[in-house]
Amino acid sequence: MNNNKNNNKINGTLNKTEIEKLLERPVEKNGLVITPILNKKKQLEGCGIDLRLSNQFIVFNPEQISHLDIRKLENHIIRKFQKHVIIPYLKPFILHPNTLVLASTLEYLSIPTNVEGRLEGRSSWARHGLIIATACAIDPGYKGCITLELINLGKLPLYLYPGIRLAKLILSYTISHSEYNPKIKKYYCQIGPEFSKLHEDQEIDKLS
Amino acid sequence: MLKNEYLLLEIKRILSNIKRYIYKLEANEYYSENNKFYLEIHEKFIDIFLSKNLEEILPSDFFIEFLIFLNHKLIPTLRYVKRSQTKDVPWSLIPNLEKIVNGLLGDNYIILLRPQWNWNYTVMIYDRCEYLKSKVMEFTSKDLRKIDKKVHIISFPILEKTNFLLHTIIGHEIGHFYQKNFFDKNLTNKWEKQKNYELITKLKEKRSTKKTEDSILSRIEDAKNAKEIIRIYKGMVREIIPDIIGYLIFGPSMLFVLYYFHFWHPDTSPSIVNQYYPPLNLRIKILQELFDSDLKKINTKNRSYISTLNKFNKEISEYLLKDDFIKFSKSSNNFEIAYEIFKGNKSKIIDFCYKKVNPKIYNFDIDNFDDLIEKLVNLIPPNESKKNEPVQLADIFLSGWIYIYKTLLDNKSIDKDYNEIYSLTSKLLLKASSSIYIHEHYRGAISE
Repeated sequence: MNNNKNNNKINGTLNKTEIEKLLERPVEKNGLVITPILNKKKQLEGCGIDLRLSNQFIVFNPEQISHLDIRKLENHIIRKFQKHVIIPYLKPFILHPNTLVLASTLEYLSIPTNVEGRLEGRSSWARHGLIIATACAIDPGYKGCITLELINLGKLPLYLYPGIRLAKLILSYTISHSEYNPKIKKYYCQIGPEFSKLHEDQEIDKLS
Repeated sequence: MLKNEYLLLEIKRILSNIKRYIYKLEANEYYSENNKFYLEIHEKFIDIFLSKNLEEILPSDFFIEFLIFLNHKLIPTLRYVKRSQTKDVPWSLIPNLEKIVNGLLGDNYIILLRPQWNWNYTVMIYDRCEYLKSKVMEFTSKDLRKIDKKVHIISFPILEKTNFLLHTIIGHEIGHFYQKNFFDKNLTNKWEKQKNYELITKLKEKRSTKKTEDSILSRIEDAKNAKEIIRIYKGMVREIIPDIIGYLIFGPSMLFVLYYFHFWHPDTSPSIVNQYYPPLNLRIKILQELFDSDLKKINTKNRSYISTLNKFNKEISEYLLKDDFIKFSKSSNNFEIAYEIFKGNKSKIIDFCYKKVNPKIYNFDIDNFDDLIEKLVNLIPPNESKKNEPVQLADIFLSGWIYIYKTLLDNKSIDKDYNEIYSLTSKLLLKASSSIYIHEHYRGAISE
């Protein structure tokens, strides 16, 4: 018997009922974990679940760096131009126009091995010019908070209060189970936004 | 230039410097409003002296004293705020700890958490702002005592910022507030005089039964011993009350963290060299007795985590048998007598702690635990109960300790992975601590 075979007959986007069923299933039985869900009624609607903004950010200080060459990136260089900012809950983080910051979902996720996720911005925020994620695919079996790449394309600074609903997580079944080992992944069990680990890509040496 | 004129100019210059430095500190990022308060009260103090004609409020006889006060007392205390910036502290713990401190001691108790280079946890149980208030009162009619907030500094070892489990010891540090209360009420000067007299009489009697000579020298020796016995006893109470309070706030996690300390903390006989610290195995013994009695009351049905706690209890019992603190009694007569006094007062001390913490005593007899530990096994932060309700900070501490202890028991050859497992667990526990705060707050806000 093929253990990788997906027991779900239908592959496709999960609706509210399907998500609820997965949330009720224990994690050791390949259930879905999203924690904490502050308000299930508000967050779980239609074909996805709203995720909230955490209070951790990474901002960029390019003043001391001329450019980014990923071959030469080392931890101390990365730390030189990226800075962690933690905002107490109930206080705003102000995102200025044309600024990129890394943020994170408040929720910590554990995705079943036969489910993949996509993260999309909420249209209400998009109307104010806020883009929330550009790298938005979440692998089956992923564990951790999701890093958001926030950009304000609007003309006015935006007050972002940690805890607000900012993104929508869309989940779909995959054709088969993935053999996912979170421990070999770069962004493994992250609990907030993490510095880029692009320099750990092994192939870079061969291409430069 | 006259000396006093020069001193006055210096005072003004230093006051202005301090004010500028406070502005600089205010620009830093702090996770707690407490830091802001601490800076504000210092600013208020400076403003009082800067806004007036100093010559009118400060008699010239006090110029030097005031300068020394500014340079050697006030300025050094600003370092507490500087070091407690968000980036340097386990910020996710702060709101939860503030809630515990306010719930136990009152809203006017505020704490600043800051790192220190010494590998140690400490608390300053004296209000760090009191000296400012009294200084203002000394020279002006302003009464800063209307500000009833008391500021206390809790320090943790700098490189252990993210070592969540180790921060259990903060429960002990909170306990020092109660220990001070106990000392103020029970171990007064009057008590000490009385006890001293009793001890000298007892020591003299002991000598007469041994038929030792009653010389002046032996009487001096008795007085010296009586003093030391009191110090040893006070040292015991000084550390054991905070341990018990820590246990009542955070449950068996307090015992886990003390047991962790014993692995590398050499036990020495209490003396002036170690500020009369009681041996760690005595402290462990006291908590183990409480733990043992609590374990017996727990409903064990469908709770597999109890078996790990039972194993832990057994391990500690064996350790106490093997490494008995009584060995100090054999080598030190004074320790033995001090311990006798302690034994006589033990139930009074324990009752005192229970009464003080009640009704906020942590009850670890909960259904949740298997689920919380299972979450850690599956690399998920243990912040929610089965009913999706936020758990308590003490639940997070205990689930973490049980998980790590069980992992160590189950994997004898863990050395290669230990560092990774431990730091990953710390990460998950820190995240859980952050989540319970916002979860609890949100629930409160929508129910209003």
